[in-house]
Amino acid sequence: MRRIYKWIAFALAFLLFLILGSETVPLADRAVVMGIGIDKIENGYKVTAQIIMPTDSESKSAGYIVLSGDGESVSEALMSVSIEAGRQLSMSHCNAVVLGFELIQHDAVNALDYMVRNAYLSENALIVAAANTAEEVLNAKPAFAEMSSLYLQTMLTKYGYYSIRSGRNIKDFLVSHNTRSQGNWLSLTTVTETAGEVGGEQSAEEPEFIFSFDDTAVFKGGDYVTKLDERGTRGINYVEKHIKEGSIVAVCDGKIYTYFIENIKTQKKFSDDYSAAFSTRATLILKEIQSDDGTTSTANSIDSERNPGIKAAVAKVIADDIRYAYEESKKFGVDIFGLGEGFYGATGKNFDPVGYFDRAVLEIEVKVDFV
Amino acid sequence: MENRSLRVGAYSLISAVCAAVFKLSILPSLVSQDAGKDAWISVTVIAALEIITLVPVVFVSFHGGLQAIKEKYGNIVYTAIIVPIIAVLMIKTLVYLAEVNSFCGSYLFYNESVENVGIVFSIAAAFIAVTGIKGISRAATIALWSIPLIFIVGLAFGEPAADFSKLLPVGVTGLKGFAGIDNGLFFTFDMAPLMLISAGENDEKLSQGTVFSVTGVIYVLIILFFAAFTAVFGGAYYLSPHALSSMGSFNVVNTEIGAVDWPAIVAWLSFALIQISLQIWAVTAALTPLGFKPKITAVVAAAVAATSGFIFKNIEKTLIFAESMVKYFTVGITVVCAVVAAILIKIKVGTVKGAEYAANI
Amino acid sequence: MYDFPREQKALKKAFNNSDDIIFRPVTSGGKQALFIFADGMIDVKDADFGVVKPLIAANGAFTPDMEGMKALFSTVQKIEQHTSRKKFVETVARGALGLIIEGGKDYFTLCLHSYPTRSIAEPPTSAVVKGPREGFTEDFKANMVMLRRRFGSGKLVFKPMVIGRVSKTQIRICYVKGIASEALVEKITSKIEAIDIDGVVDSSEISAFLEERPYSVFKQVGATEKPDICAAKLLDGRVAVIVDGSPMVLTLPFILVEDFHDSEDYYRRPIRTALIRIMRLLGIFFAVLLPATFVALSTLQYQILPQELMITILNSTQGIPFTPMTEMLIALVFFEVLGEASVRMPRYFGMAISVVGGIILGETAVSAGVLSSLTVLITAMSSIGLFAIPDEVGAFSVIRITLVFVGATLGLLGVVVAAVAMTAYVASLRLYGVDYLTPFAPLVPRQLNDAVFKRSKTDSYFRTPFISRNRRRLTYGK
Repeated sequence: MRRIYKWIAFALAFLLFLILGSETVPLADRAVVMGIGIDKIENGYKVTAQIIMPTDSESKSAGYIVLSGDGESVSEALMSVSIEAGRQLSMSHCNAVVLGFELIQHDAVNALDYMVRNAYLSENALIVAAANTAEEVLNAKPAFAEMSSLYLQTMLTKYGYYSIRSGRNIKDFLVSHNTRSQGNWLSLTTVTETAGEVGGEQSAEEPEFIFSFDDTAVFKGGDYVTKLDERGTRGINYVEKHIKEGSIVAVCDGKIYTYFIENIKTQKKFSDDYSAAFSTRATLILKEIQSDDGTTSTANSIDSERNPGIKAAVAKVIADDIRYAYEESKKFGVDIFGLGEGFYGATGKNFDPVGYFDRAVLEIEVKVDFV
Repeated sequence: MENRSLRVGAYSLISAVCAAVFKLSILPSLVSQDAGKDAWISVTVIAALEIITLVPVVFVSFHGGLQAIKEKYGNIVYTAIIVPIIAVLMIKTLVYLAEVNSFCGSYLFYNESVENVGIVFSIAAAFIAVTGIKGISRAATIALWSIPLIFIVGLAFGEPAADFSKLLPVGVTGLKGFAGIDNGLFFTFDMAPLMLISAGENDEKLSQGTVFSVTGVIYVLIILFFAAFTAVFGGAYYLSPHALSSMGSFNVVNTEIGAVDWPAIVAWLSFALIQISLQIWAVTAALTPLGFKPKITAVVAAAVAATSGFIFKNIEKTLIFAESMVKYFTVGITVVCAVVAAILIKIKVGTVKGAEYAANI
Repeated sequence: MYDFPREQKALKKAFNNSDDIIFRPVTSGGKQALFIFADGMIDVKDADFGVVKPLIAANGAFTPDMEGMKALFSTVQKIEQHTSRKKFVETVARGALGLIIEGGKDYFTLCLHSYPTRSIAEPPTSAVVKGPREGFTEDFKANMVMLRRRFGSGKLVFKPMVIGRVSKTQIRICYVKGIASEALVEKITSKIEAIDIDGVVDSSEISAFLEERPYSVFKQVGATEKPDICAAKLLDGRVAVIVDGSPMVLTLPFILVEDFHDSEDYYRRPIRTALIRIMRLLGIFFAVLLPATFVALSTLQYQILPQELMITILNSTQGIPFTPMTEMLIALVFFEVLGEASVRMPRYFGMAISVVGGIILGETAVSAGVLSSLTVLITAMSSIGLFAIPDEVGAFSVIRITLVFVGATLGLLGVVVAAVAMTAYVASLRLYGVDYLTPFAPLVPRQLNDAVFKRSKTDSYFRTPFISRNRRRLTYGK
């Protein structure tokens, strides 16, 4: 081919290559959503978005605004938020999704399903349920952070391996939902105003809130059923997560032993006679011994090794927490530990999908090591 | 005329690319629809069938490629074989390009239309196809370096949440476990372009065994990938429109380190482009012995491929087409043409090495 | 026998009555002789004592032929006899002392060249801390000598050629017999022979003819100013082309990885060299891709940005009136212009311009809200990274600007697609029988070691593949 034709073809192709990338909207012209909340209202949904706002060019932090929009569907509600913001929403950094208490009663799975498939929300985004409304949670300024959505992320990722935190992402929730047992759980967050106790004086226009993550919302078939308190939260976490922080208190011979958790992990085994065996391995560090008279002393592992009963006592505490979570959930027919999938794996075609939970026997064995 | 020969190492790499690229995107989700947790069994069956089909394909390549048939049997027989192959290549290119368009337009980008992505890819694919099979294989060699990056990033930052007990019990879905790939059959048997390549250059010590070894390893990795996909997603396979991208995020929330799935996306996009370029090149390589100019053929083929964005505007439409009878057509033609070509070559060409033909064509 | 007076006139006409061509008639025993030379190009003292004096002293007792001249001018190293006036004129124009003698039929030239040349110094483009500091000069003979000194075995061959209808530039094709491929030498020779041009000023003009794709952004002919590097390449089986008047000696065939190796790499320890080569690779990788990736991420693929960086970008781009692409292009063009100005500026102004342009203007642009600080930072990093490979600054500079356009319009998809297309193009280049991206593509694992890292000389058993059929370099131990 003559060179000139080649050059013309190349130039045309390159031009076409470039002009086709139309409608680019730079980051600065987008409303970057850091956290989103969905509430069920009378005629549909209310979506609340915490949107980041640029501040000073020298600053490394950012301001934010919280906007809410209503709609008969989630997409309509999102559109009204976008209109109010005057910019197209970007969910690229939306890592915190809050589901309002009304929504989790019946509609959590549908709302999440839409968000993941149609709103470019990452399936790895963290998700919490709110004891209040999602709007309240996102509007609440945390006592220890700038933005509630960033605070939620930090609590559930950096501190998500604490025994009393249960950070889950959308993928975890939907995967659990698509199992035989359909038992599910989410961290249930409650916001309470600090009443000026934290951080010194505070102005009346800017109340600060404490976020609590101790409770866990339990679901069956995508619908909220009950909530578990801190003990139940610990029980679930000991089994479902790899816990690396937290504390355990055990009583032995009248003394109170406080241990810090180095490591707690559980292996599950299922057999075809519907018995499940949980084998939990805990590695703990002794921190404090409180005697009968109220005096405390710092301690080391030798103190634990010297007392033969302490391992049993600690193991019992852990096992009891696990059993508590299991039994409390079972009261509402929720197979919180996914025994159904495990039994299906063991029994195959002989699996009894209706009666397995009643027939299930759970054995919990806890092995404790001290560091 | 353009040289169509490749060294055995490069040919093995191209064979691996054909085997893997479009099995790691939408196929796991498609197969899981029917096969459920036995998706890995479905893909094992397909892998075995593909390796069996690879036998005549590799035989053809190592004996001069389809061009040897033109040399020995003339234009009519040659045309009878390449016309269905070209049809298969073009249909696959259209659908694969549509899949890439959907992935980029509706998953990666916020404001890029699928038509534009299709045109951009077609232009680039035509450009790469024109560089010839050596250019394509070398681009693939260089793109290989992006794969370790996926694992380095994953190992450093990932928090995988895979539960392999989800694969139990094995084989419970019965026939669906074996035939569950029926839905996704279109995305298999991608080895048609290999028949246009003449494998083995004069001083090579490597042989056909190398091709099967390399491709075999790739198939094993694909099976493991499917198993890992089920271990991660379980029954929620629909969450993942693109398996490699989803798995490549290693369950990490985008915070301090940003999105972790971009190495997987970059690697897959590179290889997808290489695969589509390979198919366009194969069309030109098939038509060049009949007197068609390679560059013009590449441009025309790419222009046809670019219409994918206009024909298939979203992934649903693409899948409706891919799951229709056309999937049996593409698989059937690939297998039948491979076997027929091997038989014809065996009869007249015998065991003359491919390099001779490559040099003379 | 020529008519002496007529021949004088013809020669004056042949030299176009040029002022610098001196015609010095001399008589020797009644025989007329005429010396012709270019003013300033011969050693006048040597000419007077070694040539003119003996001629006059001979008193006509000599024959106007080669034997006669050799007997007369025994101290002159080289005497050439020409039958053609044209050849005689060309040789005199190149600096020889020409002589015609009444009664003779041939022309004679005597090699008494002594024209001003630059002294041998360290080349500015290849400064080293350790290693030889010689550099090629514009005198091709000096360059030949510097190479000859490094090959005591006598296997170094110089093949002479002359090109340029007017300039008659001397070319020497240089190779090592037994290592370089004869076919390669033949191919290069025929390419140079086919050059039909008025004149050649520099070796870069020759390289344009030796390249197979002269409009490609990637160079296809290597060049070096250092004789030690040239010798190393000759030992690898390459062919060198020395062009009179140019200090840059061309080497062929060229592979891209050559430019990633610095002259000092030959003299550093392997581990240090390996580290520096990796840093160069990373440097150029970031230099080319960083501006485009930044533009792509801030325009289209925000999800890849870490949260803190996204906040920083949002804050820093607040109030900037331009799109990320425009900003980046302004900054890149500004740095390119600054670079050019620094090179051409008189030395006395150079430092001031660098300080003013680089620091103050950049700072002011950010304060005025014309550019964001991140853009300036990325442009600066990219520009510095480019100079990790000084010989490829031109090519990669063009590529990075192209990629900025592509990244801004098509995001990461565009960058990936463009990068793959460019890789395929570069990988398909095959020049003089060697693939451009050897040993990366085609993959030659044995040579990868030496391409990215550095093998100790004690382990360098083989030459670079595909360049020389004589693969064996050392026989030490194996």
